[in-house]
Amino acid sequence: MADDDRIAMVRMRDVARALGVSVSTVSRALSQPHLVSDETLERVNAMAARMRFRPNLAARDLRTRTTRSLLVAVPSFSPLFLEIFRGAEQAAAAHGYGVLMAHTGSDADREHIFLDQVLSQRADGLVLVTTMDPARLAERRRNFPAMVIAMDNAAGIGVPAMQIDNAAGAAAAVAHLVGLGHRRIAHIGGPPEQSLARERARGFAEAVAAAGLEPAHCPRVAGDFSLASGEALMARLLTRYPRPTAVVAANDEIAVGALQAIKRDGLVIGRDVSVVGFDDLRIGLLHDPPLTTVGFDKVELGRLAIGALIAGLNGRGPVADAILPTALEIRATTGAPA
Amino acid sequence: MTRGAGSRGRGTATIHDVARVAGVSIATVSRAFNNPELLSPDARAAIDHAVAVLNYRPHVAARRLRGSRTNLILVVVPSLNPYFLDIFAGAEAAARAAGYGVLVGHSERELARERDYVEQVAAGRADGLILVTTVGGYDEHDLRRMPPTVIALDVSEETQLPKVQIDHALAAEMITHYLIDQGHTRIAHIMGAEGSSLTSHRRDGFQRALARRGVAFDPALCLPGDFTVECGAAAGAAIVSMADPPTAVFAANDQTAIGALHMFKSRGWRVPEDISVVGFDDGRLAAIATPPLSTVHVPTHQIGFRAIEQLMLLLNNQPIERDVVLEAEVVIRRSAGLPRRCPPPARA
Repeated sequence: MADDDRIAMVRMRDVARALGVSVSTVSRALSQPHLVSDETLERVNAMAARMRFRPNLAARDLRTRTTRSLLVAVPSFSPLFLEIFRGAEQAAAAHGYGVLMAHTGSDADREHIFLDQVLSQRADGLVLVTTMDPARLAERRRNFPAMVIAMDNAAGIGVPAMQIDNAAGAAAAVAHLVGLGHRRIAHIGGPPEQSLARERARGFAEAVAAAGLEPAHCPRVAGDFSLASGEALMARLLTRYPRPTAVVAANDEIAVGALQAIKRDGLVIGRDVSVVGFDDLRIGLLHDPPLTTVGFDKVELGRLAIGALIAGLNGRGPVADAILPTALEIRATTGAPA
Repeated sequence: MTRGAGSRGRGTATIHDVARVAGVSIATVSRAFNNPELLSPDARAAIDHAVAVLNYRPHVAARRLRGSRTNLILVVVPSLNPYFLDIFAGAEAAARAAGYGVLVGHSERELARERDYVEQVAAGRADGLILVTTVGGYDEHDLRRMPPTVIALDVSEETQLPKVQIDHALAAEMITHYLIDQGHTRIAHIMGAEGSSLTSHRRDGFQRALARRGVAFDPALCLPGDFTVECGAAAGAAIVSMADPPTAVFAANDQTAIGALHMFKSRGWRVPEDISVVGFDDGRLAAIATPPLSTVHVPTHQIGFRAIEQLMLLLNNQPIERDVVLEAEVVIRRSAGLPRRCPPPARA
């Protein structure tokens, strides 16, 4: 006889009997805790733990055709996406869902792998945080799982999109620098194949033009959103003549990399060269001096995306698209040019 | 052997039992799990009922044999700290090479949440599991039902699950020796989160170094923490207001060290002239701190990579090393130096 045969499995029915409540009460407490009182929830959890009850998830998946699990697919290992995931997790937990994070590596093929995972019922829905190929997504519209796009434009895809105003954020950074008296402002962007990077570069270019700055003095270079790319590209910008007096970076990691290059050259941050980041992550806040950056409510973005996804799953919707505003956080890396 | 549902131990029903009780073929039951849309509502209802009555659970290993793999690995991290992103990146690189995808879940060091992830993998939503540290305390009973699992980073002895780790105590001892070598004899330790084995091992290593070098251990210099910048700042404030403050601080991780560093600077203490500060992890913030942080380098990417390699061996029923211990090393930058000769500046 197999070992397994000697293990007495505790069933939901046993937990219910021990508590003197119905099986459906136990079931609700375990799978949709928001539907029962705190007191009931606590009693059921305590008894389930004491009796070593473990829910039969395979049976539940089969019975309900749901997993109560959602996926959030992110394009890279940036802490930015951890903050969005944090918001997603909070909103999902409030509705009795769990969330798992998937990584696409900015690879369109991998986005579709996760769409397929949801279609084969390994999760109930998907938040796709940016997409590398909106046209390809639009092509498979008829074969979509429940899905929401975050931080990207979903035009032509036909699913709800929760975005931020990237171009306006970059423009605000330029306006801040122009207000301080800068005329030679460079942009260190992200990879141009990512819409996030394109939108931020567009906002930069439009604001530079609107301020009447000389385009030849406002070079744009593209990194890969990493600290190392910011450091290397800044080192090259510092060899230009005339040297830019300020830089708008496409994210905080690039900005912090740029600050390392400026320090290494013995230049004074905020006087010889000013730097503005984007995203408002801890790496910038904890930097000495703290980074001036363009912030937005990342946790809220995650919450909104999950809210829209769950509304769709519950047959409510479609939820209106949202564009969250950005706000300039002025700290200590920007000042008047020397 | 009788196959009647009643004659077997509870919870060990087979697909044969489900088919008999539902009055359908085994193939139909199998289809209900793999392609439910192909079944009539009546057949589904009958099978759902039989599964519930028998408490049937499809056997994950058996399903793998029949080729119904998910090609997914679940990695569970204890907190949404960027530090764990590097372990995830290593895991993903190895998984991709093996043709697997990786999903990440977050346990907040809560037992119920961690066990829920274990249950999800056991139910066949992924083929294997990496627990980046564990609060599970799995016993014999649990281990028998455990899906293929590898523990990463952690050092908990109580579980027999295979592990890929570093020797946290040894590394903590090494960096404490470094501080003692500089001449420090009053060294504070800002501890990690309660309940984490990383916390106890790093503290043990710290105390072991003091004992080996004959430096008195002062319990008042062991300050509570939880691996965050905030706890480092709080401990830093406590140190600044001590009557006889330490000359060096070993923080349980880099974030804690950076919180303390900021607090010291804001109170007019220079690092390392007035106080030395070292961390643990060598995460993204260490090298760019001002001054750059001396710390213990944890090979996070490699830990993730090796954990997946071990898991692949498990999934293919190949022999594995139960315990892979990777090298951690002390990285000396500029946040620690000789002990101060005169008292630090007046408290703000």
